[in-house]
Amino acid sequence: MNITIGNSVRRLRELLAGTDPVTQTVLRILAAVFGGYALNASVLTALALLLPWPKVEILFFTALFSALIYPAVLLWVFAAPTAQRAWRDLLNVILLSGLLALVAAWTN
Amino acid sequence: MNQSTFTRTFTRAMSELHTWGGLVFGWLLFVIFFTGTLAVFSAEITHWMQPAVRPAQTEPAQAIAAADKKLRQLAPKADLWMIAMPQERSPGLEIIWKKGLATLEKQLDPQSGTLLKSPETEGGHFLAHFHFQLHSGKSGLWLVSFASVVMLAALVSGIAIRTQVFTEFFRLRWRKNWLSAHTLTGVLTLPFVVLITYTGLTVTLFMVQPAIPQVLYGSSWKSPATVAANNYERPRANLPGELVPLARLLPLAEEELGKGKISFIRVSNPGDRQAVVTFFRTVDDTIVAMSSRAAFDGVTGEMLGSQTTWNKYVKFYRTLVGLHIARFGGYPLAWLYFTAGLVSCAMIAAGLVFFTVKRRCRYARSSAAAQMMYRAIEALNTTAVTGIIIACGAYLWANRLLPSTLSGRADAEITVFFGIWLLMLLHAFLRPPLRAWTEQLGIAAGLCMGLPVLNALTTKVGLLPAIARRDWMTAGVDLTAVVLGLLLAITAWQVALKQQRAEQCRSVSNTVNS
Repeated sequence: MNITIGNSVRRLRELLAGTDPVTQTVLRILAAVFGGYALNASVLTALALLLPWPKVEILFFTALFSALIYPAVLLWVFAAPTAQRAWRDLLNVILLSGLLALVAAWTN
Repeated sequence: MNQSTFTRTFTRAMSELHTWGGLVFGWLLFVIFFTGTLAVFSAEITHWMQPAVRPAQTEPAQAIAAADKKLRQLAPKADLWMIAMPQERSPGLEIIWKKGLATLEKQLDPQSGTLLKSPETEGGHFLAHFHFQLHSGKSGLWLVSFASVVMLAALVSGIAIRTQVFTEFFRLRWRKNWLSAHTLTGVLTLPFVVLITYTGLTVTLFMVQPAIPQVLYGSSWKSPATVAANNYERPRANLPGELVPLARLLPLAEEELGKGKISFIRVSNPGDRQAVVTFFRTVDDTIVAMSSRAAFDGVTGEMLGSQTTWNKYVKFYRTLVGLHIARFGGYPLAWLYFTAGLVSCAMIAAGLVFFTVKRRCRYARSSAAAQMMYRAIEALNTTAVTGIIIACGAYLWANRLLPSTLSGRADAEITVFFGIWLLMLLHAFLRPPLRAWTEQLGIAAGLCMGLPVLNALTTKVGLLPAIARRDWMTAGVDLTAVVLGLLLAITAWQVALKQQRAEQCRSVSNTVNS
């Protein structure tokens, strides 16, 4: 039992790390849909917490960016040399802006 | 990696995104663009679908007095009254009231104040709502928003994989094939599509991505309008108070908002001491789609406040909304949007067709599974493009053909819309691809061109009487349907010619082979 689970985990890892074109495309689509949404949310939340303006202004100012960030992420994910690179870069930006948002929320 | 391999992989990645993203979301995008194009004339379609409502021009004071009287009579204990005043493009007077969870609405004759017996219909609102919600509420909104994201990415990737389109366009190197039709209409409507998709996405993202408002406002967040505008509402006192005649407040409101500019009135807690009457100004003459308002104490008639200026970002945001809904420029702008919308639909349709045309030979030689997939794509293309046109046509036909006594008539019209669309899906899967195209294009053309005939036979607002009464809103729908029908008929004829030629080629090649 343990061996089969270990085997399938290893095979999945190999598949995710590999360059099989179907896996690459699936990974890119997942990155675009979920990564795009998460990046959009975390970057804008950080921006919303850091901007020293009245709430209404921040709300409507950040609203203008959603429609630009999401498609940009989609293009970026497909333009990246490999899907793994796209995921790595995406997660870095999400983590960084998430941390910024946390710090901003904490200092507020 | 050197420069040329980078360019090659980049182009391939963009091409992959454009081809498959464009295909899968192209079906949805055609539907969104087509219903959105019709929604430009939502008011006219509603007017056409209510042939019993043809009120004469009335002074606002008379209309508001009529609505006031009827509401006091029908709903003295309601929580909320709303009055939609007669406007240039919606001449009817509508009263709406809410009690608990129930909402009721009635059409009034603005002159006599009597209730109009008009068969129920959702009118053009159905198409306008379907355009961004797909008749499935929040999940539809999510889907439409994501399709818009893909649309913006498809525009950029489309230009990236075919950088020469602009030179081809401006040097008039226009070829008669599907790719050329797709790229050239794409260049032509590029500014419009960028504008409409970006503004549309900006509007919906507030609803699908509530992270920012949640961070800023917490659980008190309801909608952008509630934080952008001053709140003049008051809680109910549960003490009786005689509501001031609304006609007496009208001049005061007009002084604040402009004469003849009141489009909507809201009365909260009528008959209570804390009643508030709010007048809203029309947005039909301003690009900033934010309604200026003036609120009055419902018992004393004293002004509680008014708001006619907005924060600069609110203004900018609502300008984007104004640019999307296209109400600010009257008919010239509406026609510009309608035409640009139709060309964009043609662009999406040509792209979908090109996908299959390009692969027809390749799939003919490939495995059974690939052939099945190709067959399904052909059928879905037909359903998405001609199917939705037929469904919209059938929606208007149902409005005239369903018995007026039918209960739940408004829903029945919508059922016809979806039922016919489903039939078209079955038809597209059962018939050979090219035949499905010609037949559905033919049906669509017939539905469109038959619309004025049906209208003339079943109502008193046919094309000639409507023109005689200068009722251009009704006549306009009839005439536009004929023009669209002609365009569809020409397309059907062209596709039929192509089909004949394809069959001839096949028989020739068969004889050569044998």
